[in-house]
Amino acid sequence: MNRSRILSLTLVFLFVAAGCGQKPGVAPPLAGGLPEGATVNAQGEVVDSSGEVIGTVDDLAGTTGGDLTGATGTTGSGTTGSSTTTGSGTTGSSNTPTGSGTGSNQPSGSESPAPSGPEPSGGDATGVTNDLIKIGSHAPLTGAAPVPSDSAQKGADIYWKWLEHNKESVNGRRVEAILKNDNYNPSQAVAVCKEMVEKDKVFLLSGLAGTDQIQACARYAASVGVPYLSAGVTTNGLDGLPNYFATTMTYADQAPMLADYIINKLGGADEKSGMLRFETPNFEDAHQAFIGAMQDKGAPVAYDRAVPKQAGSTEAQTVVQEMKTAGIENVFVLTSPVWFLQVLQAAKTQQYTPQWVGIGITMTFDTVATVGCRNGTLDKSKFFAPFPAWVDSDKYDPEYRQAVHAIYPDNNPQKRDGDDFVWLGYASSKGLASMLALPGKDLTRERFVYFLERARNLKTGILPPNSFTPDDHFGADQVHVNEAQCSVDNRWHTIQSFVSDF
Amino acid sequence: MRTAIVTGALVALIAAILFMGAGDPTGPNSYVVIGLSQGAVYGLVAIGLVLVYKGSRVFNFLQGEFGTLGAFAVFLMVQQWKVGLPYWACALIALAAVTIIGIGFERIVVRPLLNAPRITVLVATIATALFAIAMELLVFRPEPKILPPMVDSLFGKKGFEILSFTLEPQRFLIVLVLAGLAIGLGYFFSRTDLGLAVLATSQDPFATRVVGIGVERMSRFIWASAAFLGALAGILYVPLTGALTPGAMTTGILIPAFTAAVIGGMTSLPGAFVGGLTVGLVQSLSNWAANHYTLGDRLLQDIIKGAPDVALTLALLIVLLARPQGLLGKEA
Amino acid sequence: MAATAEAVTSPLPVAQSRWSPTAKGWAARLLVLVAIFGGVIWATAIVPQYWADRISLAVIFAIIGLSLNIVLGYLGQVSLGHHAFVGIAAFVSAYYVTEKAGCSAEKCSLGAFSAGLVFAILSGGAAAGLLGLVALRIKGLYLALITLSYGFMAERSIFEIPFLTRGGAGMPAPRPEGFTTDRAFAFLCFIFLALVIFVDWRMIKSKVGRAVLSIKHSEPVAASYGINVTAYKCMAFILSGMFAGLAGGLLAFRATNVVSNDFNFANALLWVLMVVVGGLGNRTGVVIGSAFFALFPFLIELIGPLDKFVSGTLNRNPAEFTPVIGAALAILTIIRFPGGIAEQLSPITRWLGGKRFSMHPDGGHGDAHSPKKTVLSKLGLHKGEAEAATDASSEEIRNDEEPNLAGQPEEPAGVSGREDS
Repeated sequence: MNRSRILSLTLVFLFVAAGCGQKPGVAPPLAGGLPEGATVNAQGEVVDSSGEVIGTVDDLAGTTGGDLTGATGTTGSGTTGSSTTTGSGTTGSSNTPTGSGTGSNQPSGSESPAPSGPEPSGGDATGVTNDLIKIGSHAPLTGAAPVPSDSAQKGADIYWKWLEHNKESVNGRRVEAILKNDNYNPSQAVAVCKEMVEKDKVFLLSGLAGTDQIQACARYAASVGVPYLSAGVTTNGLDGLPNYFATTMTYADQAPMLADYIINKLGGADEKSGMLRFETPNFEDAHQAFIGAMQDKGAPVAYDRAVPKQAGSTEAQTVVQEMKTAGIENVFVLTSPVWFLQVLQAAKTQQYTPQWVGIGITMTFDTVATVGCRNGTLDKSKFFAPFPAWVDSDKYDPEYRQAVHAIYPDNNPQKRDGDDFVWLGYASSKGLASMLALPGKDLTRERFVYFLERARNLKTGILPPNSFTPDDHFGADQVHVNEAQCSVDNRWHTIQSFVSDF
Repeated sequence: MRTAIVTGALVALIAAILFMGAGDPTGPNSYVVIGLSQGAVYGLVAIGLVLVYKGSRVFNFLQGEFGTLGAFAVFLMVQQWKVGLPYWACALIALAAVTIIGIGFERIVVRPLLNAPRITVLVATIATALFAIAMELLVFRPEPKILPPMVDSLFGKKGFEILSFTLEPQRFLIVLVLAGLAIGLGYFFSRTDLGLAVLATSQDPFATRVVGIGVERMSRFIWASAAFLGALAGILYVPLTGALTPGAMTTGILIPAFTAAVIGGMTSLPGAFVGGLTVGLVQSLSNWAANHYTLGDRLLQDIIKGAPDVALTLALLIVLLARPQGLLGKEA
Repeated sequence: MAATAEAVTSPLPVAQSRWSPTAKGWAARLLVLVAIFGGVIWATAIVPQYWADRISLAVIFAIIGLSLNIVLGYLGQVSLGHHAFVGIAAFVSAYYVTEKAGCSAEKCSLGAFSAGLVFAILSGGAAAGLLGLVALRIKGLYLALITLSYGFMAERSIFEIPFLTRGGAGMPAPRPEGFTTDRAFAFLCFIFLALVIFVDWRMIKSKVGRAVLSIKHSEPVAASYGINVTAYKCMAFILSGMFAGLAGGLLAFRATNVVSNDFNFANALLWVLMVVVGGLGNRTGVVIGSAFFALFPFLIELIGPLDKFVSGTLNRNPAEFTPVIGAALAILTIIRFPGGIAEQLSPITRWLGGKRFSMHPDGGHGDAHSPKKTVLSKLGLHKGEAEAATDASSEEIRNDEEPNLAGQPEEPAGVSGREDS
């Protein structure tokens, strides 16, 4: 009897639940009722005869790249550097409106003559006003691969502040960067991306690090038509998204390169190699690519282990013991840095010193090197990275140090030059600036995507050059090789740059 | 007597496993060592849990956080402020500090709840543990910190190699401390006046008060010792994990430690010792088995995820259903 | 506001005789109720979409709170493994709509969505039932431990099954047609909350409810009256699991992508605390407490100077303060105000329920589970009966039952002030 009572309650509940689900009633009038500022913005836009600005896209991209690398040599003073962001033809003209602000610009006809036939004009200019572009990015400021939040914020801001400092702009607009914490959690990433799109009304989104977060946020961005740029992680679920662009190589593309590197540079042909990865489908393409490549080269992987994402020090001890027993000499690590540090600790205890290799962004943060060097066996580990080591920043862009000194003055000699997070932020913002400049003054999401899809060889001198096509949104094919040098300063050092094969 | 039987059975089991795996490099032998050494840590935390349970019939979810706080205190002195004191002195200060925190917790949270249902006190310890973790996160930020080990060598050795697995000196120290505590505290509760008074308080506070023992004083003593033991566990263990993060001694440690305490009988200090080793062994061996045996053409670990944790839950269930008083407990 | 004015005029405790408000009194009460619920609905209708999204989170948290309340408040047991029920249900519903019903991000039918939610409810109930069958034979504190261990196992084992959860990347759970906007989805969540409150209220009024409450008071006494203690405990557990399952399904569709990280041990503990802070056994309190926990970081954001202090001076994410403040409030509740928010609000809720206004908390102890005390539900009874006859639409049910949720956007500041003072 009791049971029947519960059962009937349950049935009623289910019935009502199902019934209610089918009533579309309440919401539709409210749906999509948000005022959309887009058209207003677009009309108030200064369209600075974008025919001039653009030229043919391929030409432009080429010259932009050239200018950028050139600009690294010339230091700081306003006018020269402006070409960094504005693109070839407009150097002179774009400098003038920068200072003059909103009112004085003539709102010329919103129709801009397109150089090539199908080029879109107008469109969604959310986040863009006469003198400002708002961009949003997310990064793990807490969680399994935490980035110190103040450094991350500095990194997000520094390049744009440096431009302002030099009285430069992106086609007459300054850029405001919003950075939010995704807690190394995909749901949180979507939540903050949503907030940046809906509340902060950013023009585009970008993801700094964290495969799952990038994938989740990119999918969300695609659903609302916001351009999304990130470091390359996986193609899983990202391939084919119309607004997604990967600015560095994906793990799956890097994995065969890493196999080459192990075989050709580290003498891996006669050694046992292994792979240690987190269990997530987003690493699966890289995993398959690596296993396959090693197989093809006649040095099949002798140890292949996936661990759950919540793995702790016990798992670390276990895998170290397993690898030691199996005699693995080269280990490809594709996990979170925090867990990798625990593996290193366990390896030190067991006097197990393999050659650690890997790919990715978070692994080559200097904090990993500092902890890994002191507590573990990280010395001489070699990791592919999209950005060169912070200690080598002068070799790639001496302006970086000037920028830090000018924007974030700090007398503490240890903090004087910022850190690798600031450096990474600077580097990626610089790349982004050249992309934002592509469509010229008439900056809309549609035009941004259109021009980016036709950009060739976009260079910043720091990150690998990018070339996109409408069919291929994965723009890079080069990496840097960073090595942990524990005998020098417990930091990463770049030992090879802009390489694509070994 | 029962202690001897159970311990003997455990030793015999270990010996059997080792015998079967002898000479096989992929066999379970080194996993036994991993399991036992990890189990010692569970045991150390479990002893604190048992102490509180004996003294006040409460499951103390704060026990792990006493350890994390201790580790952070040492980190502050050794790494952050670089106070210039020797490591052991910093550790002593940290132990004292956490003990004071334990007394404060007892005064502020436990004392007003002396007569409340035990489940209320349990929720209060949960709330306090969450509070502590959140505060650590706010103050120390989530980036992993380095905490060097207290001892680099023990008996002049830099490592103890057992069955091709190297134990750090500090891990060896943990095993020694644990064994010492289990015996010492067992003696304390069965042979000393203070120990008996603590036990009496937990069993009948009113009668205890009648015979002139201060219930409040006992409660303070229990929580102070629990905090001390928790901090000791944290200070000894955290350096071995490679990274000090907020909640380090709660995530992944507290639940196995509870299981250890329950398996040992929740009221038995030697039980916590044995239970800890058992839990470590169960986890480690199930890990080995999942990575060693196949079902069809797939490794067991690809079919059953998180084998050590499944084994842990099953062990807890089996013990609670079949023998609620645990291996060495006297009462349910 | 009017309430406080009246407090001054009638400070004396009122004799519990058959006092009944005048017609004017009823009108005033009705006006306040309408203002509160209308306010919430109106707020949800006009706020920006991202706020509607946050409100839907608060509503889902309220459902989770009510689910835990059955175990914690009615049954007097502690469940530390609720993240397992919620998580399993979330994954099951996402798995169903994505893998079985063929939903994509662009298109998902209402039928698939409804079926997904049904599966969520069933799997939540099954997960709880499975645990209940075994664990309820274990008494007292040990049950807490088993639930904890169960949740831990789910986290490490079930949430790692690749086909169900797609590892760390998560399983997509697209929203159905018509509910793709956050606002529409928030209203949908409100409807489900109303349903949960309704079922909860009917359940506790029924024989099952009386049996469960008697078990809480004393198992031996209940058994001596011929109540099958284990069976009723198990039923309560399953109902709790079904509520949790519904919440899990809604969480999945709210996020549109389910990730195991969202269902962790710390969350389960926080959920327990929000129920404690809300007031064990009291629907109104639990709903307000849960909503407060869900919205806390955004409330900080709303208060300009506070946001500046937290984000600027302290340089911390407001969300990081939820466990700090939540846990502190819980400790304070346990030690000083055992009735939680419900107790603090009881003068208002009792007045709304047709009693005279009195600051005197009835009973004074935290044992607020008795249906008599949940005055709002009593009111719901009046209206519910009246409208049942006239075939109440879902809209009206919402108006009836939402009271408990009401107040949440406006109240929390006042509530926390009350708690602090």
